[in-house]
Amino acid sequence: MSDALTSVFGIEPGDHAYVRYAGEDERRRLRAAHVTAAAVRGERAVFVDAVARDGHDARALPGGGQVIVLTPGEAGFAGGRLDVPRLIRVLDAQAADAARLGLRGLRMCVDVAGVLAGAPEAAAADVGRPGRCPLTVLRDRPRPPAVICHGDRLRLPEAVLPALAERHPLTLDAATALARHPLLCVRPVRDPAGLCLEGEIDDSNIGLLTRALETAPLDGRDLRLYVRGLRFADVRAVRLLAHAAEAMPDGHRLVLHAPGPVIRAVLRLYAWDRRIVVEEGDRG
Amino acid sequence: MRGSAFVHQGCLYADDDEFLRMAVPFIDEGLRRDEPVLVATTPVNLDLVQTALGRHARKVDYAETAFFGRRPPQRVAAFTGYRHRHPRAGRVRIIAEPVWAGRSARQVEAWECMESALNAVLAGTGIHMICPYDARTVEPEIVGNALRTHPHMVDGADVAASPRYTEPVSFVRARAAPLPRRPDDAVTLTFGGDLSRMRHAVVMESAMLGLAGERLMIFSAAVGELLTGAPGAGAERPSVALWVRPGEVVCDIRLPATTSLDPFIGLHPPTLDPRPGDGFWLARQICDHLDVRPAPDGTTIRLHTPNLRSAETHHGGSPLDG
Repeated sequence: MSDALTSVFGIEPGDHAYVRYAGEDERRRLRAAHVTAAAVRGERAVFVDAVARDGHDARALPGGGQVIVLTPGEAGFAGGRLDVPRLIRVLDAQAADAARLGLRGLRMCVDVAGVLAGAPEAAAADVGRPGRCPLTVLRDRPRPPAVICHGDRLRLPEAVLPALAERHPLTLDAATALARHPLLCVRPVRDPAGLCLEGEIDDSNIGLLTRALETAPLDGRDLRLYVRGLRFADVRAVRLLAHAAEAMPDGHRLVLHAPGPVIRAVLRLYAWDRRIVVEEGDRG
Repeated sequence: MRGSAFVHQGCLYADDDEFLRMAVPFIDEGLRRDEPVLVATTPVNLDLVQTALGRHARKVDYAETAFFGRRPPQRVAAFTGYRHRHPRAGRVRIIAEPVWAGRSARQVEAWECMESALNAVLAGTGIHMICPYDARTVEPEIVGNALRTHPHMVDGADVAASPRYTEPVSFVRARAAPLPRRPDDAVTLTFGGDLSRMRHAVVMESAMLGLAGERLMIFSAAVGELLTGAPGAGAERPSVALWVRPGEVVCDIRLPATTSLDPFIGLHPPTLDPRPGDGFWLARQICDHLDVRPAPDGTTIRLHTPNLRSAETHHGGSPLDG
């Protein structure tokens, strides 16, 4: 995956980011983007939030699936402070449970306002002092999760906001982290020649794919498309690929490198997979 | 490959001899004409056919019918898949015995509607199909509906028009009972025009209800196809509602009244040439059940798909194995 580290989709295992947001709408959009990113990467999204068992979140599968929602107490936060060994035990158990579902890692999203809710003032004051976010220790784990601290500007004490940004190696605003423009990035690559497609393709931007296919560089007699970073393609887009393969002269091939589950499913269920060569590996 | 008529015949049989009096001449004629022949029936009937055909048995393709498309849309895909494997043949012959034992009322209805829909969606495919019904075990109501879903009935080698045959659109529409009311705690998402944002929201809500991994991503893609692929949708904003039931996630897609849906939308075998609504094929193929209910104030499409509480999703294979 090669989304820039300015976007939710660019945050990878071992990264530790702080994302500032404002209000429920941005909170929900961030959650949706994190779950999508986790699903695309084959990770479990672990949300730590004080409202975990209220309202909307109460519907989460109790045992956890693609997503699990933990209260701060369950995750090792007590009174606004972190019990690191306990958190590590919790995350190890989550990773093992997720592995049983075929999920390969964790993406942990901690809502700082939720963690501080009801905590003594001293805990909030700690967050406002210089230093490092205590979750930084997770970067040293053998298989570190992606860690994202979320801070609601409308709920956090104003005094702690500047320090929160300083305590994290990367700070993003929600508007930036959620930006999806351009939705699809197409760039030519060499050795072997082809096109690298990243992002999402749907009705809104399919013209870009059409034009890209018309001018794509060939690797000898092959048209190679590197699509590991293509998070989504709708049926119309996959049909376009199948059409391109169909239109190629005898002996020429359209090779898709590392397509995701949606593209694979459409190719198979629409019986278009006989016209396209799928290769597992990316360009290394 | 296409162009010749789809011939769809039913056959009620009451014992092994009656089954063979239908099956053997049908297969023999196919072999004489050099037409590919597939027999999809019960293990007992497969044995009977293979024994009766003797040395010719190896010229025929076989499938245990319970696994030749587990659900109606997958059955359609299995038929068209077999047809596509023989592109040079003018016609192919298929004996396709449906499985009725152990099915819920909803599943029986879906299979009967599929039997009727085949007359429309397989038109022009050059498939000659006989669907045997075992009168010893099949419920009388199902046998009665076989007479309404097959234009012709076969008795041995004799073929007669079915006087009770009902045109597919009428058959399917007459059975479209109102859907159960959605629960009050269903999550509703309104599509504001940003497809990507809507997809992410559907991914999150579906994940909260117990979908995961590839099934989660493909289900969310299918919902997106239903939102954008319906002819006539666009002027008004469609909406999505999601809720959980034991072992499954249920999703309503509410399309505006301007939407016009073919009752067999998503059952027509897709081709490389775009056809209105063929994004629905994806939803039909991956969901356990799909209902379409048009109404004056809009059309509701209801999807059911198993979640992590369904043990089948843990079997280790593809979440979409048919």
